[in-house]
Amino acid sequence: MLAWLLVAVFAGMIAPHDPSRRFEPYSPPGSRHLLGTNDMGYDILSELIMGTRISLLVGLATAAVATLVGLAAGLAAGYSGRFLDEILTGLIDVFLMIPRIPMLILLSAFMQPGALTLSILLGLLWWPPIARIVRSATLQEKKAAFVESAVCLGFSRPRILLGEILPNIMPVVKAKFLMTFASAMIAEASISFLGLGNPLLRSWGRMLYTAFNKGGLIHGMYWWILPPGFCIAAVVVTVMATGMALEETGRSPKREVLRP
Amino acid sequence: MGFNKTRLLRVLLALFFIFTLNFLIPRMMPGDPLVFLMGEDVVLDPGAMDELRVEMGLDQPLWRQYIRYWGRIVTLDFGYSYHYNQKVSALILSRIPWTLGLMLPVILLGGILGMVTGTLSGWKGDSRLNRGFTTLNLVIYSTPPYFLALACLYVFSVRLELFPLKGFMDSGTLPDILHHYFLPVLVLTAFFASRNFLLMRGSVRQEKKKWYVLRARSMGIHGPRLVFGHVFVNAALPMVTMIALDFGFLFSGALLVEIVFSMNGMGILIYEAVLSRDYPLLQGIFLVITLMVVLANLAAEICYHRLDPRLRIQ
Amino acid sequence: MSPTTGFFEFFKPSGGKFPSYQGACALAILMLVALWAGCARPTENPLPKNRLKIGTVHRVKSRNILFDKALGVFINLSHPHLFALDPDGEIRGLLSDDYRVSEDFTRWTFRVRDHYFWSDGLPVTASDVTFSVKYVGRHVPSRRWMERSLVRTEVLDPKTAVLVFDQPRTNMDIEFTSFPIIPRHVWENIPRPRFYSENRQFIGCGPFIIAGMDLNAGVIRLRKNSYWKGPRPALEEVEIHMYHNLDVLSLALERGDIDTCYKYADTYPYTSAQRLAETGRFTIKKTRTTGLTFIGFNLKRAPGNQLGFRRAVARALDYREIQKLITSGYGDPPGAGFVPRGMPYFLELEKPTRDPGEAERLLEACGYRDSDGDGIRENADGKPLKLVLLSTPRHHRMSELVAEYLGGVGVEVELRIVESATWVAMKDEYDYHLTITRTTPWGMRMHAGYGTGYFDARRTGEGVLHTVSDPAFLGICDSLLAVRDPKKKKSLARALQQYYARNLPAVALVQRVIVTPTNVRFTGWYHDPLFGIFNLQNFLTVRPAHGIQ
Repeated sequence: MLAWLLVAVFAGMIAPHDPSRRFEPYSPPGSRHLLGTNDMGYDILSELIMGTRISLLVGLATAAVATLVGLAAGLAAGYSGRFLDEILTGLIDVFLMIPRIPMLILLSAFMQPGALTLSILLGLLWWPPIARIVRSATLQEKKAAFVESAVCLGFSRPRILLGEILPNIMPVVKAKFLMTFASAMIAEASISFLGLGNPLLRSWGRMLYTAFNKGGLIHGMYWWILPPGFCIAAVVVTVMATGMALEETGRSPKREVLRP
Repeated sequence: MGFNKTRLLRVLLALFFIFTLNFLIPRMMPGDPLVFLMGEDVVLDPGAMDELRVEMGLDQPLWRQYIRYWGRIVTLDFGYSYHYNQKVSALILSRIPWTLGLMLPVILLGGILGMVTGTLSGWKGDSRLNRGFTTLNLVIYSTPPYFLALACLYVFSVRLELFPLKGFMDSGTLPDILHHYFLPVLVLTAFFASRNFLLMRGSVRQEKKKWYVLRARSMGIHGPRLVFGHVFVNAALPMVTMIALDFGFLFSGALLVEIVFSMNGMGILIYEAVLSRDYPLLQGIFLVITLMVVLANLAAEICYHRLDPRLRIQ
Repeated sequence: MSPTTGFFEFFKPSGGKFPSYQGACALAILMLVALWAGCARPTENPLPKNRLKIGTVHRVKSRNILFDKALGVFINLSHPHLFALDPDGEIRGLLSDDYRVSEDFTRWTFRVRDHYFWSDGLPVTASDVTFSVKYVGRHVPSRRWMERSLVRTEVLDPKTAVLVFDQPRTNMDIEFTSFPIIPRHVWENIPRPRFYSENRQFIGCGPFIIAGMDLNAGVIRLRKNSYWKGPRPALEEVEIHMYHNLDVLSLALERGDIDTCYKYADTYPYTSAQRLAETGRFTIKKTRTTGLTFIGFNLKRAPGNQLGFRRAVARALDYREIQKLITSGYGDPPGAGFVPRGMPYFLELEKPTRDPGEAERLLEACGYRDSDGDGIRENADGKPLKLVLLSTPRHHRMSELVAEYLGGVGVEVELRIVESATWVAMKDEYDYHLTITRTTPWGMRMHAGYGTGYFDARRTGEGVLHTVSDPAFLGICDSLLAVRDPKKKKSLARALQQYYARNLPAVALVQRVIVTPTNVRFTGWYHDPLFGIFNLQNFLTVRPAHGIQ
């Protein structure tokens, strides 16, 4: 995971060529171009490396947005009184009912969003599941003994929320964060794959679209078609594995025993 | 029961909100919906465009269109699609069975397969086989579905020439239809199963640590009875909502695969409706999806309550 | 918990041998695959040699020949038009063999050929023509103008129809190369044609009739019209296979599932075509079209309204590289007069060449100087020259190239790539500095012809830029619309091309060539400038390469 992040940050320096410099198009892999060149003559390896930035950025930003909103909504709903809880849960329900992929198609097609806008849009579609989980976790924590004692001691509400409850639900949140990261990357890749996204957003999904559309499949240019797909899969696998591991270690066995 | 009333109210409110959203969103998108109906060469004859606008009801002020919209919903009249040249309801009804035929087996098979294998994997220790299988599922889940579908198509249909390249059928006989459905169902099932596997596995591994398992063991219950009788049901609880949502979002899930396999189902309908600004069709589809999701959610709630005795007591 | 326990008892394996579950699952899947592989092979009859299968990405959405765009093209076989264009761009009679027009262009007389019969046995008559004009004009929005303009119709004899218009109409002959002629006796009792989907609508008078349409299988089947009295086609059946996905279509083509690929006014991807040619099983036919890809300027604001700027842009582009990268060498460089080779009265003007030095001089002359050394020119007020290039995903690569070339001479270009409907909205609001778009062969003949339809500010349409309101231009357009005499027409056409070259309302980038791959199983292909291989003539000449079965 760390490796990927490093590549993304230092992409500019790692990439052997400037991805917008043009060479001889459709060259097969060789010493100068490890993955060959695409239809316009851009070096595929450079494009792939630069694409790391975009794809990871979109995934991370989306997860960040979704988690922030989800946390806020979930905490508020879980801890507050009936009324606020009802409203927020209602809101969560509404957003949960919006079909994501068609909505995404709609928005991508018409708005042709850049990386940041796309992340925000995706984040707005992905926050409800997080909110739900946070809410139910908060509800459970609320009943715990240490929260009661904090209330008795007179701690202010925000202090209880952020100081007591939040740290305890962090493991779940972290895991969901990573899951959202993975989902968002796949969603972005799928939309770009259909050709609906912003063509200027050179993510891995977009590379796949171009590869298939400009004759990559027909000519059997495996060095063009497969790497972006592998990269997406690889990152998602890493993220998911980390998420799964976190989910397990996050819950200490001791506390489990205390709970029925 | 307090649960029912407030829940119902909330669901209805949510529905109202979504239906309104459904009305507004297509209209907020840039671009004139009539553009694609007119064609390349339109002599400046506003009359023709105006007539079409009136026919489609687009000339009315927004609030009036809104009222008309609600009236239509109540009578289940979704209007006409001017790109498909037929009633929206008829169009949707004709497409639904095909997509259902694709997705229902997928969700059921993927659900059962995933949950069973996930339980087993979560229950058993860290054997090589277990880890290998988990990795396999992880990889399947991580691959973008479109990619997976195209890869399958390429390998099985083109190289090995085992399956047809497009469509729901060629001759319309049952074996023929099954033949066409096989690959898409395979791809989607693999995807759903892997997801369910991973979730179930995680859930079971957590359940394993809970004290009731220890207690049951001490009572002499072990083996498959323990796993599938007790642990499975508890671990499956969080999955219920997930699978319910799957049913709700049946159509969107099918979209990518329908494009790859050139199948004229609901998924493609959504895609084309969006791109051609076919308002009535868009609205009709979104409505149907929303209804399905709401129903699925309600069903999930009911299942959840019946399965988890803890909640029943509440 | 208890009610469910019983259910799961059912599944318990013998004695806790869990691995058997996973093994069982795997085995089951393998068996299924083997089963399908074995007995689910399509047991079709061996392909009769004279059935032609055409693949296309155009999808028929509704069973309606008048309102469905895709079907409207496919019925070229069953509903021949009055006229067609031959490869030189000249009008040739198809359903009609002769026409006359009055001096003032208001009265058009058409004669229907004798040997056309509808597929239910009735002959095609002049009243079918007059009925079609009125009916289609009434109901189809894009043809509404014809109904409004029609004063009356006359039927002089069963084969001679007369249309009288309210104003001079000089290009009705071109109009009738794509106007559907439908049988009166089928349609006159249908009040709402838009929602009509019965099979009776397929009754046509061409050599092939639509016999069946299966939208779930994505196939349209055409069979021979038993009442066709013209030259006997060698083909027995024609099938149109509709794919959602060009990749899959290409694979199907290579595999032999289909024999050729059709796309209206568009080409099969060049690189894929090359590959097909290499297999030796395909012939690649190159047809030059009058379709262009071009840069349109927003003439309403700076810098588009400065001739010097437009000239600079024309000089900054590397046309040869464009041809190489975008069309894989298949396109033709455009003429300076915008109008491409292949249109009548084409004027050979000096081809534009790349001259970045000249481009920079012209920009300087316009007052754009790079005063702060950042590589981008500024105008007299110090505002940097940053322009918006509006385009659609289809022209994505071209836009990138153009942006690069312009960047090289100090003009910064911001690419805005939007989907079609948004593009239409934005160009109608002149929300751009430059735009890259294309003309279609039909579009080049719109209005006064020669692409005037795209620029005349008095018109509008899906792809129309309507940017030119210069009276000189409009004057030429109007004259062309009214002209009769071929000599006058020639001089007007030349004047127009010189106008284009001098004033550059647009810069043509590449003239499109359509490549059509056809399986060597069939031969005798005939390409029409308007409809490619989907013209009636083609289906009379195409035949299996190794004799008829």
